[in-house]
Amino acid sequence: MELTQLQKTLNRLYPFHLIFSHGGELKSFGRSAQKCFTNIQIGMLAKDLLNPVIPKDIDPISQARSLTEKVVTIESSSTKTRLNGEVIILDESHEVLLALSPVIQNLAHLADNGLSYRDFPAYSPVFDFFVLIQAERFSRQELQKSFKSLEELNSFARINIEIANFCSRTSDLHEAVEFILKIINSRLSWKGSISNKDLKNCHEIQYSNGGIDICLSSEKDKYLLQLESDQKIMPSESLKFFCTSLKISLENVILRMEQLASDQEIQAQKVMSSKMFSLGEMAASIAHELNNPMAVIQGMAWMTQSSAQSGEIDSEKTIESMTKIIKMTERSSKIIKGIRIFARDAAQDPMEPIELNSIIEDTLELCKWRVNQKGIKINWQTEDAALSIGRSVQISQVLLNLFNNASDAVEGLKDPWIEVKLFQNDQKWIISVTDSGNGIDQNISKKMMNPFFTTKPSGKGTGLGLSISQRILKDHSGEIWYDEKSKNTRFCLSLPVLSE
Amino acid sequence: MYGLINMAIKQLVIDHYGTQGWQEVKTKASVKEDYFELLTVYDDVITYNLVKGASEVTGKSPVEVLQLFGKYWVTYASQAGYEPLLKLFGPNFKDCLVNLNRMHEHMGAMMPGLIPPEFEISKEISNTEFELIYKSQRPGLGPMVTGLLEALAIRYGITNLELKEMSQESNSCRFLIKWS
Repeated sequence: MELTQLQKTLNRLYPFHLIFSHGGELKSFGRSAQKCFTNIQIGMLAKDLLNPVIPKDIDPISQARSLTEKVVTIESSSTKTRLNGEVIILDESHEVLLALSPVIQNLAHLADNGLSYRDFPAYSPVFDFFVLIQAERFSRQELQKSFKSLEELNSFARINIEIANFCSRTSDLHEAVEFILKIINSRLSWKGSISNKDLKNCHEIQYSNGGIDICLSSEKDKYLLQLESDQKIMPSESLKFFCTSLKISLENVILRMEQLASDQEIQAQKVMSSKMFSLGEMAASIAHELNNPMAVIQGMAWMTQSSAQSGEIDSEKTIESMTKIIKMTERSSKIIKGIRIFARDAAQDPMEPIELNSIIEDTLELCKWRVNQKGIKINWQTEDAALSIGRSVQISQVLLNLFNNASDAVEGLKDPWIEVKLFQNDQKWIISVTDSGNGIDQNISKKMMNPFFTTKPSGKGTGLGLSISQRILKDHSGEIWYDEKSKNTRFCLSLPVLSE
Repeated sequence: MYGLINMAIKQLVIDHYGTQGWQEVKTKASVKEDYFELLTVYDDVITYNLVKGASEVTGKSPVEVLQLFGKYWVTYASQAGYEPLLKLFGPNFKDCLVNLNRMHEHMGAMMPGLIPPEFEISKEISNTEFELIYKSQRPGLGPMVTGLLEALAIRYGITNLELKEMSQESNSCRFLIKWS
C-alpha cells in the first residue's frame, strides 16, 4: 500500500505514532511502532493495545476532545514500554493521532525490543535528554567519589594525626604499636581480633584489616616494619595514604629509638673521654706517687744487696728494709688499682652499697701530690660509716673532677686551701668541696652545668666535667649544685643514705 | 574534543597505571585539568597531548595507545552510563556499524561541537564480509577505530574478527572486515 504524504511525514517525525478512528479502532501506525506494540494489528481496539498512565483512567482516544492537556503517557500492553506524546485530532477525518516517543527512562529496555537508532527520527529529544541526564549523573558520581575519597582521606588523616601526636610523645615502640592498634581497632571494622599482649616476648607481630597488612618484626633490637595494602580489596588512594603515613609514624618512632640508643652511646663516650682527660691531667701526680715508693724500694734493695755482698747481714735491718719494701709495693699496687678502676667504663656496673669515706680518701690520694705541688692545704672532715648505694668509680669521678677544679681555681692564690666535708642531712649524705676562692660570677654559674662549657684555657678542660657529674648523680638519685650562699667557692653533692 | 573522551583516556591510564601514572601523563602532556566536563568541548591539542603523554609514560607507541583507547572506549562508555545507547546499535555487528553514523547524528543534534567521523559500508561481499570506510576531519585517529571495531565485535560475540587495513591516509582508512 502506498503511503500518503501525511503518513510519510508522520513516519519521519513520529515513527512510533498510532492513528485511531474516533471509535477507537487502529487505522494506521508508524514504522517503529511494532517494536513497542508487538501485537499490533490494523483494526484492533485501543484498549487492547495500550493502557493510559497519565491522565489515569482516561481513554485518550474516546475522550480526546475532552482532554484539557493534550500530552499523554501510555503503556504498551504487550511490551510494557511507556511512550508519551501529544494527542492530535485530525480535522478532516476526525481521527485521533497519538504522536508518541518512548519515555527516556525506558531507553534501556528499548533495545530489548529490537530497537536501534534507525527506528528513531533523525532528531529525537529522547537522546538529548538521555545524554544530558547521563552527563549530570556521571558528574554527580565523580563528585561523590571525590567526596567519599576526601571523607576517607580525612578520616585516615585524623587517625594518622592521633598516631603521629602519640608517637611524638613516646620512644617506646611497643607502646606505639599498642596505641596504633587501639586506634585502628576503634575506627576501622576488623574482620578478626588481634592481640599483642605477648609483644614484648615475641619477635614478630602480624595483623591485617580491610586490605592493610602490617608486619612488625624485631631482631637484635632492630625493628623492621612492613605495610602493605591489598588493592584488590581496597583500591582507594586514601588507603595508600593511610599506609604510607602510618609507616612514616612508626618509622619515626623507630628512628627516635635508634637516636636515643645513639645518644646513650655518645653519652657513654663523653663520660669516658672526660675521665681519660682527668687521668691525663693527673699523670704527673700519678707518676710522682709511683716514683716515691719506687725510690724507697730501690734504696732498701741496694742497702740489703750491699750488706749481703760485704757478708755483714744485720737481720734486724734487713727485716726493716723488707718491711718498707712490702709497704711501698702495697702502696704502689693501691695506686695502680685505683687508676685501673677509675679508667674502666663503669656505666654498666651494678648499683651496690658503697662507703663514701674510703671513696673520698682514695680519690684524694690520686690527686694528693698535684695538690701539694701547688702548695694547697687539704682539710677533710669525715663521718664514720657513711654508707650509700651506687657505683664507686662514678662517684670517684665526680669527686676527682671537683678536686681538680678546686685546685685549678685556687692555684696562685695566697694561702690556698681546699676543704672537704662529709655529713648527713636528713636521708642524704652531703659532700661539700669548698676552696679558698671567692665564688663564681653569676653569669658563669648559670652556664657551668651545660656540656662543653669551660672557663679553662684551650686544651685544659673538656667542659664536660660538671654536666657529666650532674648526670651521674641523677642516676644515683642524687644532686650536684653550686652553693651560692657560701662566702667561698663551694660545690655540694648529695647521695642517698643507705641504712645498715 | 568533548571532555568525555579525555575523561576516558584518564580512566584508561588510571585503570592500568594508577593515579600516579595519570599524574605522570598529565605532566608529560602539560595538561593541568584533572576533571573534564563531559559535555564541554576542549581543544583537540589536549587529547593529542594526552595520547602522547600516555605513550611516553607507558612506553607504548602512540598507535598502540590509540588502539588500546579504541578498545577501551566501548567499555568506558558502557560503565559511564551510556549502555542504553550502545544497545541501540542494533542486534548484530553489521547493524551496529550501519547505526554508527545515525548515532553520531543523534549525538550531534545536542552536542553542537561534535565533529563526528563517518562510516560507510562501501562493498558488501556477504553479511559477514564487507569493506568499511572511515573518514574523519581529525587526522591520525585510524588506529583508534581499529581498537573500537575489535571491541564492538567482541561485544557481539565475534571472537574471530579479521580486520585488514586496505589503505590508510591521514584522515581516512579502508578496512576489510570478515568473520565467521
